[in-house]
Amino acid sequence: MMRRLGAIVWILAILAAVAYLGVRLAAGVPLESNILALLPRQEHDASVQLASDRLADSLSRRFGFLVGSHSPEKAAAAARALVADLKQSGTVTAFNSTVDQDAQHKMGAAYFPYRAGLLSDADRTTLEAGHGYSLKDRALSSLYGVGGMADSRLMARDPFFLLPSYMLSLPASQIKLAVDGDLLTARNGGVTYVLVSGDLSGAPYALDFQKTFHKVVADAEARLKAATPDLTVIRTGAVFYAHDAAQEALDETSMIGIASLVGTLALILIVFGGIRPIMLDVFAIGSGILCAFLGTLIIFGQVHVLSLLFGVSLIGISVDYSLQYFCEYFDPDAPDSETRLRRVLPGLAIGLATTLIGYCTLLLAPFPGLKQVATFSVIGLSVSCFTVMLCYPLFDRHRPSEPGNRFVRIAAAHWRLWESRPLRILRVILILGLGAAAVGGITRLHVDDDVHHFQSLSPELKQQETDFARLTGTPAGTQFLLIRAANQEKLLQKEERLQVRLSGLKHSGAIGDFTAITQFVPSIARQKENRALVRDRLLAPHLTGYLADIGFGGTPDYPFPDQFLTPDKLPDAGPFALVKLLDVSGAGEAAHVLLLEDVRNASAVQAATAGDSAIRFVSLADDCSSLFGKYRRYAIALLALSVVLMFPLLAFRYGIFRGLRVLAPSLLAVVLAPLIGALVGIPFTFFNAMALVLVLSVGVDYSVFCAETGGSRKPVTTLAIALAAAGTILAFGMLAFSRVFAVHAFGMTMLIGIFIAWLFAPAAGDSATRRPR
Amino acid sequence: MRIHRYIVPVMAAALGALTILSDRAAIAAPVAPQTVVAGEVLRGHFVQMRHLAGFTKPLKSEGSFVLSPGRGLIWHNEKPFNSTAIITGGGILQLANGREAMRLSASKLPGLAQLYGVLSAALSGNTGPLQQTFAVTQSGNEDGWRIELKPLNPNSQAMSQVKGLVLKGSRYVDSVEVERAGGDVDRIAFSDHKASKADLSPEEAAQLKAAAK
Repeated sequence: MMRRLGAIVWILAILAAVAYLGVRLAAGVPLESNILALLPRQEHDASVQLASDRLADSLSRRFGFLVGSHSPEKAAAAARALVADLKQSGTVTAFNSTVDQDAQHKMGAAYFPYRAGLLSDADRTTLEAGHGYSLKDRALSSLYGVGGMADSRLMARDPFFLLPSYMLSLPASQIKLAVDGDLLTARNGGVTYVLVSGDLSGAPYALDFQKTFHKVVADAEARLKAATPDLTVIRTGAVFYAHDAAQEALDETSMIGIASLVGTLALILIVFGGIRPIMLDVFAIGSGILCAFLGTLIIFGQVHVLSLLFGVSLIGISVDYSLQYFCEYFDPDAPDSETRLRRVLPGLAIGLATTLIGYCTLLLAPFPGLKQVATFSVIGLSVSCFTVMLCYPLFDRHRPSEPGNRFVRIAAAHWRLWESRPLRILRVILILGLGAAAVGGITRLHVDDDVHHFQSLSPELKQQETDFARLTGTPAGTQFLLIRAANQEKLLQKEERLQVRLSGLKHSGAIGDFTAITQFVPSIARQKENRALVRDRLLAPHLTGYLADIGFGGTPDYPFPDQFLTPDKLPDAGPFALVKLLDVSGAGEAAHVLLLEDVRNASAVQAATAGDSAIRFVSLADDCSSLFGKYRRYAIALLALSVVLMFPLLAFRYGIFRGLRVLAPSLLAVVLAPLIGALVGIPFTFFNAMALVLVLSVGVDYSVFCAETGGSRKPVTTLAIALAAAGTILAFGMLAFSRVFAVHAFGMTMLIGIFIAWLFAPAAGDSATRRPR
Repeated sequence: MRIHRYIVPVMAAALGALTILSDRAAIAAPVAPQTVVAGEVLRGHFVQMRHLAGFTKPLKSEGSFVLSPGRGLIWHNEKPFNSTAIITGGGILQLANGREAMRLSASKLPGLAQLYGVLSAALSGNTGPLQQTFAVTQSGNEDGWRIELKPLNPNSQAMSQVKGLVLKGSRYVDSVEVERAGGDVDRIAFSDHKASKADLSPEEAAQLKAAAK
């Protein structure tokens, strides 16, 4: 009666949870798809974190199209139409692909009052060398030159045209692009490409935003291609990758979920016959997954698509518990539901406990993503297991099957492999073969932590990105120096000293180029120097003669004000928007990001900045990679920890020696899976290490089930674990076919590891030494 | 324009050896500029007078030019000092003593592309592309042709300095007058035009190539 009440309360609780989940889902599913969101925050260096966060956020919001056609007019028209569509959709905050007339004007206006202190590097060098006359000659050649770029108004306010010279020396992006009216264009192979680029108004990794943006672009592209058949659209930006990744992950989740569910149910239908086991099974799995989803949503506020992907694979594990129960149908000694439950209960309890230990170690990882996967799994598996324990006896009306079922007969062979004396030679061959494979694998095992390999998804998008960079000459920079000082002025001076070394690196080819705030705003000290140079080496010796030469009547208005240009005086327009982005100063400290482009010799950059702890070379991709390396080692430590935590439980139940035997098959699987994987060319990554944590906890279940059985029940147990392994391989093995590298690596390791753990599981349960219960 | 080019050889043939007429007589009253097409090269002499506000006298410079349509314009200043500028659609390259002294990309200075557009259009006689940026008014009388250009978008960065241009010519362009905001006026007079099938000197070809880099 108590049991019946417990079952009813449990069912009501699950129904309530499902109803609440429905309410939550009706309000929209907050799904996250950025693989980097799975990574922990680098709390050890807050300013690097702020800088990389701001930079990463800003870079991830950027997008670019090159709209190309053999007809320049059609390309321009298509580009304008695309801009109009994007503008109307509200998915874009700002376009930076048109030549912003106003920004140029604002830039000039901001610099103009301080022009006497603004010198290009070349002009400063000239004046320092005392060659003021060559600046005079240059001014003359501008005045006399073709088309007269220098006019009288400028002449009267900047007689040697030093400000235009300074402004032309500023770093300019999009170097390969030509200005055509208000558009930026590139030509290649007879095709004219028009640039359309800007910033997104939403987060590129939010699925809703991705969907909207993608639809606007797809619609516009289809319409424009209908009008201009030879139109090509090259795209670049995180949003396209993110959309591709999210689409992929979602497609795979539903495909893998459906495939493993259908496969598992088909297995149950074939082996057990009848619709009731299927209904019960769906109930156990479904209650687990729905409650896990709800729990994750409540705890984390959102669900990452990768958690969902791994979580859905729970189907393969949670079905193990039902299978243990159903297999008792074939045991003639367990005629009723009470007996069946009593017989499987110890196995289920220990199996669940060891699996939970495995997943709970994941919770210890300072990885937001892993915590999610672990939470999802712990909730899902516990709920499924309790559903089996509490509810199955209530609905089970199955009569014991006839003895001699053919599936039981086949499964019995599995056990014979480990018991039969004549098969000893086969066992030796098997073990030697695996040993040989392992030794072969050792030589080929290599570790891979490169984040580029993990998220390189669509080769087509990658190609488009490369084309974009080649045509526009703008490589996407994710490498930078982070420079700190007590205040802005000190920082600018530090940057100016650094700039000399960086120019050397640029000259030697170690870096392609760099962009620093000090290129837009010299330090006050530098401005003072510049003013002195202009006054003493240019105006004093050359102005009078120069004005007489050209016949200029008045006195030029070239002031030396008390004030100096400082970063806060720059408007947030045009290239100055970059200055605002690169300034990551916090309270009590000034900090700037100095962008490096095309770093070809990272150690040269390291060497140039060594010895100054206030300058840090940051490479976002490398940092992520080293992080993945760190967490790969972390995962292996978790694996060891799992073993250490599981063993007391097993030793308590089976004694130390048999406890070790129960652990042995899983440990063997954990060691062999990466080595055999290496043999077929799979590198060892963080994701493989994570898979091994699961191989251990799932594999121990199989051994525990085998250790808990005995006598005539042995074939029934091997049938149960064979079905369980088949279900797990159906679920995780499917992941091996994923295009997402991380998921693929995970799947392959599971596939190999689970197979080995299953194959060796009966070796854990030697009937001769089994303790009678 | 096509008829016009056809008439010249016909008349020349008809008149044959009878008498040598001046070019002026042969082309009586052209109403449009003679065009120089890709593959041809136009050479000539220029005198530039810049009348700048606040200056006591105009700034005068003179020298020679070479136009290779579609490739670029070499502007060789001889007086008051020697300097060479090679102007292409991509930007301007300034040479001093044969070496690169300054290079400006058109993407950094939007006005440069316009400068090249106007000069190459005026010299080559192919004013079609100018209609994208200017309102073009063309007229002609017995003395020759006259083309007036007014910026279509006076507020654009590239046009902020230019109020209007007047091109005049009898056969090729004889003068370009640029009126600027602020009261400055530039007048460039061209003479001694010689059009020929590509005869760029190796040095000139190298200069144009260097500028296109």
